[in-house]
Amino acid sequence: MKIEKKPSVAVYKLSSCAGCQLELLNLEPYLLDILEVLDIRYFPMAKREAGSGPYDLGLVEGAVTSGEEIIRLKKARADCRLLVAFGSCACYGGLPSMKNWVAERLVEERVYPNLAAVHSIKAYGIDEYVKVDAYLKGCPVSRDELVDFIKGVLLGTKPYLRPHSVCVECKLHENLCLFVTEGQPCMGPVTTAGCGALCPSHGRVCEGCRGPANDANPESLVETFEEYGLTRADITRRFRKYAGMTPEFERGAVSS
Amino acid sequence: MTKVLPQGKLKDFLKDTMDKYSLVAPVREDGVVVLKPTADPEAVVTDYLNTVTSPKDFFFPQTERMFRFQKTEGKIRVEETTWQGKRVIFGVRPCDLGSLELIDRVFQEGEYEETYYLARRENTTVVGLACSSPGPTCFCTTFGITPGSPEGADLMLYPDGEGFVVEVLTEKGEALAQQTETLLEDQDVDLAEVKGRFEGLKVPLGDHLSVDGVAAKLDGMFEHPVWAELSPRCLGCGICTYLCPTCHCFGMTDEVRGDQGVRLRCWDSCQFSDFTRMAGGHNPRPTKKERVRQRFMHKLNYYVHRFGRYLCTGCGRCLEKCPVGLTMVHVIEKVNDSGTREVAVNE
Repeated sequence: MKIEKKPSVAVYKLSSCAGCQLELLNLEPYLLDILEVLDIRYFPMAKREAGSGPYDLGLVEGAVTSGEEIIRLKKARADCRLLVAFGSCACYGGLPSMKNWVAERLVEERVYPNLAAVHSIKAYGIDEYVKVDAYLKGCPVSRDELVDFIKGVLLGTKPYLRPHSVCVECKLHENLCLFVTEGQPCMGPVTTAGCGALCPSHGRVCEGCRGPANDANPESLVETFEEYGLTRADITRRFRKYAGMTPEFERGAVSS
Repeated sequence: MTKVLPQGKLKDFLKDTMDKYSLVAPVREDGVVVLKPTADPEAVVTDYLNTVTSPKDFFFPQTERMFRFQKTEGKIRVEETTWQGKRVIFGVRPCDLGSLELIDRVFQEGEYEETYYLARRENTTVVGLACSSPGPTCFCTTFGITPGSPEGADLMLYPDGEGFVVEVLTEKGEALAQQTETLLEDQDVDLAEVKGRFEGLKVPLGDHLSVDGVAAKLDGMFEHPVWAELSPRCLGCGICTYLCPTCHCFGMTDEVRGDQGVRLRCWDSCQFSDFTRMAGGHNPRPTKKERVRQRFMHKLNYYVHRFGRYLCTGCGRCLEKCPVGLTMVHVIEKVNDSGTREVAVNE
């Protein structure tokens, strides 16, 4: 493919483990092709030189957990034509949002010896503060979905981001249903597909990392979890592990 | 005289079958029995209530490539996928045999013939296996099927004492009987008596569940509160439609790379919210109420109006696998029990 003017790309990191950025680098079979068609200008994790904006595409990894990050995020929004919430943390808080139901002071004390320079806030997805053009869910993001998304950006088409639950992909793989057959507490029925049902395909229940599917029924899932013998606290933890900040999963976390 | 396949000759029967046909048969895998292509007669089992997945998968696969296409010098070349070879599906239970007949009507009757499905049907010989002990989730008799019904099979096996009494039903069944004729013994057995014994077996759930008048009653129940009562527990996981031997909805997509691509057909499910979502975003079945209603109205009313039969064979897979118990039996009971007042209003 010959590109006249390669779209420029910036990759930002807020509060996160850098795993989603790593997935970008893990696109090894395609990486050279991608560099042919994209001009990756700003990517501190992978590249020493930092090219200045404006950029065509901004990938923001991580949740917003401090005031300083809000400032950087708003600058990124101003610099990028398309801004993408890159991974579950950026989409709706992700793992860092687990702390949101504990007093901030207790969370800070658990991690840092000296609190003088720490000013953390509740963990939010980036759309709490800026307009977002696309959400790539997952912890980490799905490489297949990422490649599809890059193709969509280049072709000017809308990528197919699966709206339905993980159950659909699980059935495409003809997996034995852990939820029904084994009575395990699987979050698949309420979680967005797109991961290829990665965990259930390896015999582990879905943890819900991709957040709520388009038509999630958390209340009904909670009833079944209770029948399976999970305690109220267990159920709440499951729903708040990645996406407790979404209305659907919060309904599951507090439903009884 | 009736043909009988002695129990000890079953493996040989499968071996002889494989000389001429590829074999799909029930095998035990991860603790469950599934229908799978197999080349090992030793792996084939007959001691199962029913297979987890139904035989529909082998006529109407989850994903199939319909054709390839390639653009060259302004022209488009299309390369159709064609079906080759002969196949035997062994050990299909009467409920699943019945389901093949129901899907046949969808893909065969009317203006268009579904050639992908029909090619597989034509080239597959179905060996049925009568049920000796119906299980707690079986309700075939609700729909007029019995543990001994052979309809849908080419060749039927009735387990009897030390072997299987054989009934040949079609030309394809006859061809298979000839292929394995050295193994089939002529014995002094009364086929009608054996069949009668299976037809008379008790199916506890089915014998007590009546579907009489349900289709007619549903004519007036489109707006009945029963749907809003039933639907809130649905998780939308779609396992009912995937395991159901009679569900047959699909979607088609083109996968294009450069100037070539393939057209794929994949199963779809009316229980998914994007099933009816249109290009502009409008969804005529926006909530679970409409979607649950659609599934059961299709099986218990719409199909009955079109083809004169219920689109369910009482296999019991939804009873066994629905995580929230929203099953065919539950819905039929609910419809039977529902007041007629609302019906009168709608009429």
